[in-house]
Amino acid sequence: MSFHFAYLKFPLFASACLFFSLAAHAGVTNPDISVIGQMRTFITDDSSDINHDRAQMSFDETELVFDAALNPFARGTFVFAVADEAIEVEEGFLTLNKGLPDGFGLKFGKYRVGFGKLNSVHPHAYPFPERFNVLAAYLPGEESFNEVGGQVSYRIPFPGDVSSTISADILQGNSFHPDEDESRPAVLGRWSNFFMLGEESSIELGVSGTNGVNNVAANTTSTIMGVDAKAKLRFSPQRVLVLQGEALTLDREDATVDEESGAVSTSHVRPIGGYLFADYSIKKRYNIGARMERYQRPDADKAWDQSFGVFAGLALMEETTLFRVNWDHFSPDAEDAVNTFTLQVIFSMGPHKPHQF
Amino acid sequence: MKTTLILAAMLVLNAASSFAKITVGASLPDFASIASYVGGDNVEAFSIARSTSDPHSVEVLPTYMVRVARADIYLKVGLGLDQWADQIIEGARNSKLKIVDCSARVSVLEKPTRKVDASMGDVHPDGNPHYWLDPANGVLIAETIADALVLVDPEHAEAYRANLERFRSETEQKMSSWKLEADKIANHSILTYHSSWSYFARAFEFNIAAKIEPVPGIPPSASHLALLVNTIRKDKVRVVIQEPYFSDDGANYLARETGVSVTKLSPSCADVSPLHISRILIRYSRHLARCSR
Repeated sequence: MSFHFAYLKFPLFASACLFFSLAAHAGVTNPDISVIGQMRTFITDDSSDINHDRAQMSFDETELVFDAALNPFARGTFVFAVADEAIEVEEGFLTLNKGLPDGFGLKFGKYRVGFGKLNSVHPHAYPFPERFNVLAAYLPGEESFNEVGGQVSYRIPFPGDVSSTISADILQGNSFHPDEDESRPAVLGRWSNFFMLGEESSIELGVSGTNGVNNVAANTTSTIMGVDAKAKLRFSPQRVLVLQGEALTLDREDATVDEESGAVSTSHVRPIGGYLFADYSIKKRYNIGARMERYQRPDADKAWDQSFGVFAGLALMEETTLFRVNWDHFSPDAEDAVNTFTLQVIFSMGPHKPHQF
Repeated sequence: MKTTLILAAMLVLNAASSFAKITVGASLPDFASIASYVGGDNVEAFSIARSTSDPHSVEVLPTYMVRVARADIYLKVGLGLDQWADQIIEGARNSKLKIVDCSARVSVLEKPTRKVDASMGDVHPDGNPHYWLDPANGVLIAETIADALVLVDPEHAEAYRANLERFRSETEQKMSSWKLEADKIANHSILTYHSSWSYFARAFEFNIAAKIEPVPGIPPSASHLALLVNTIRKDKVRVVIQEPYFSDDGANYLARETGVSVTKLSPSCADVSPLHISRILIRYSRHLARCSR
């Protein structure tokens, strides 16, 4: 009996050692973990919504973020979107900014692609509840332009404090042709520039372009080009005005198959559009703003749709708990306008804040 | 002729490299100031935050990454105060950058003794990070910076050590006159907005009767302000020290209710010049003396 105990003692001891050694290292190796929840109450007069003119409530996707240094040179980030029925890896990427020739950076994985200023930002960090319709209409992807791929970026060593970065991405390309089994790669390029205006204010200017196959069989492509600008004007430590806008143009080749001859012909759709918003922080915890967009629909008619909205936000105490109200007036061409009023509550645990001051 | 030209060019390049200054980036101007002093002519120091910035939340700008990309050393405050600096350092893409935590030698105040969570406000789990406002800690910071400079630029090690000793002796000499200055102030009971002044209060024997924030990072409620009105009357507090980057609504309310004097003082100094700690302390103690008369 005692023999058996002695026999068992060693693996127990070894397991205990292993456990305590892992526990001792846990604080070092555990990633930063954050959870962001978003609740929304809204009322709309959109007649296509079965619940129109009635207040509706929804609990939007919960975001689960893991972020940590992988080693002295690389960082890893995972963002999971948790909805009622599924958990989706929204982003999972590693960035390598050290150990490379000066100014170079690498990124691999699945990520929100850096096209323009807004696409790479998670919606909870916008000062309003929804992304602009023009981005949804022109950029590939359902909720964002999000792809598997790799990026190389280089910061151009300009003199002074100007930050100028060029980046090139090679992407899986599936957001350009989401319903097809075959895959064709896509490419993206961006040049972004940041300048200080005096000591407290800044301006950012960027150019982005992407190209991918929208129909694998016909080998037709979509090309989207965009320019973006953001000015951040600081009047005092608490009062800040942000002006941001993007202009986009889409050049989409559409394939048409002649049913009789089977011949494939292509046509082009080239709509343009853009958005603009102003967000003014009155004090650290309060902000108000307005947004507008105008764009041509990406179809043969190229009818103009537009929307206008106003929003306000309040951080209850600090950055972890936010309340937002937003009124949006959407005017589709030759159709009835739709008004939507939204109240949004966003709360977070952990270091990743919903909307940093 | 060709060989002579090449040799001359090599000589010039070699001379240029030996005269190249060590670039030191710092989260706060106070640390850049001490680095300037210890580094002397061999060091060029710059700060990311300004004296008017809230050191807890500095906006990470690409411009800062460009500056840190050219630096040899980066001085962090540490103790969780300048977590924003990590993003700047990461974005700087500077493999040769030496990162120095200046809190390494400091004996930390207000270290939580139990598990910290957000119900306690924005508590720093490693203790109060505003340690640079005690001149004795200024010397400890200078020692840490000198070590880093010696490591990165051993050629000028003697100069760095000599400057450190000069900094130490000047600070020690001045400490007695600062204490005398502080002793002249009749009322040592003060109210502060945030816990920025704990080290300063310990060094010059001020009593922080209460803080306007009920817990760190959380603005005061009406009931907390009512409690503060009682505290001010009971402890005969005459001065409220208010950081310029926090909302002064609470302090102004207290001034209206009790007649207490609100003094806006930044815990950092605007100019990156040697021995600014001495200047800031002299300025603060004089200001406090004026207000508490």
